[in-house]
Amino acid sequence: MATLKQIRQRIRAAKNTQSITRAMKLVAAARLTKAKNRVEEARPYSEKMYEFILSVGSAGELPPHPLLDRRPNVKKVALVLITAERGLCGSYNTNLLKTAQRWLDTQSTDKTLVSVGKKGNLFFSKRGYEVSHAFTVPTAGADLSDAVTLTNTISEMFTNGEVDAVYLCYSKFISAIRQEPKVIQLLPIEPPQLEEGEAASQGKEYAFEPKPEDLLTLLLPKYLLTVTYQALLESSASEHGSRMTAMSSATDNAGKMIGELTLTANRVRQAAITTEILEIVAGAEALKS
Amino acid sequence: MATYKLSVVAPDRTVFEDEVSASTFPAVYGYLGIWSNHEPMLVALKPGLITYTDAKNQLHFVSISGGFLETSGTSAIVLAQDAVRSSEVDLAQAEADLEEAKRALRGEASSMTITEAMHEVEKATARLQLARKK
Repeated sequence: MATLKQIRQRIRAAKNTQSITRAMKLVAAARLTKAKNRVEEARPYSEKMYEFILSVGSAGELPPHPLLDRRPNVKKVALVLITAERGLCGSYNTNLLKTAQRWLDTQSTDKTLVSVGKKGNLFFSKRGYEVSHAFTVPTAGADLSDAVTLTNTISEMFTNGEVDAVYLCYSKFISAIRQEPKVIQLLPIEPPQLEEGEAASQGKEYAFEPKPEDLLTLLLPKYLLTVTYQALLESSASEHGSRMTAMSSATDNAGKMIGELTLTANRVRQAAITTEILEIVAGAEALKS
Repeated sequence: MATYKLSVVAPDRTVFEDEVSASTFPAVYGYLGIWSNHEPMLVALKPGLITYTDAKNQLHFVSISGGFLETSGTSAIVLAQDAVRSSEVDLAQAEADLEEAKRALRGEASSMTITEAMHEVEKATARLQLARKK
């Protein structure tokens, strides 16, 4: 059995850890609120952008556009993987890495990775995958300018024929305790299609300026940017949500451990006192007789 | 006077929403004025100034760096890449950006490509116009 001194030392260590995890939980909670706000604020733009593409698309056949180019012979694909810069956020990174790994295994073509966030880069470059671009994003969350850089890079890779399709692996934010890793296709862009019956509810005849084809050419790159930006924001909200939950349970666990250790410490102290008393009494008894 | 709702949204925020009676937009083929009950339109915008008259007959300006406008007669929505209201404009920054873009156009060392620089000139000019309207 451990001595009293050793147990007290462990209690101290657990208390220190607990105060760290508690601080991290608070920071994550504050960042989560901010990240959630940003997702909310970005929503009107992306919803409107989606409607725009629908309206323009309903005006007639989509004209050929480099970003719509569906190549019959897909030789190489790129996967954009959004992960966190740091660990200590529960299963957030692991889930993303697993999803990405599983997806990569199903692809028979050549593949390359574009990693956003340090964790994804480390994981896949160590395992011998080709990582053609690695981006880092500030911990406070991705900026619009980060999304612009990322979008420019992948559009360039796609249009100059380096890759024939681009996919995106990110974490969809459902709630603070639920995130869902997802893989979606970025390029070639699958234009959103009007579903049956939806057309009737819209019921507006738009005049276009310039003509729909030209308008679409201008809209598509912006649409791509919106999709990536949204994914970046959702991922960062997921990261903070996941970190908050992980740190919250770490704090609880530390509390439980401190409780148990304190109990043991008290027992050991009691036992020591009892032994001492027994010794004194026994000594006194021995002297008497 | 009949008013309609004008909102300007950027990818990361809603810049403003207001009841307006009239507004003009920098469309690709020239400035376009919109009153209430305008025919539904989808328009591409280039960098420039949006001017609008609010319900109290006050004139306001917003500079945008290109975007798209949708109007349905009862509302108008602008999707702007980047939008600045007159209260937010940074004159020094705009002048610095313009200078930088011009340097790139003269062929001096710069991180910008020619197309980027041309776009930057338009954007910075729009912001400078906005600053002068104050």
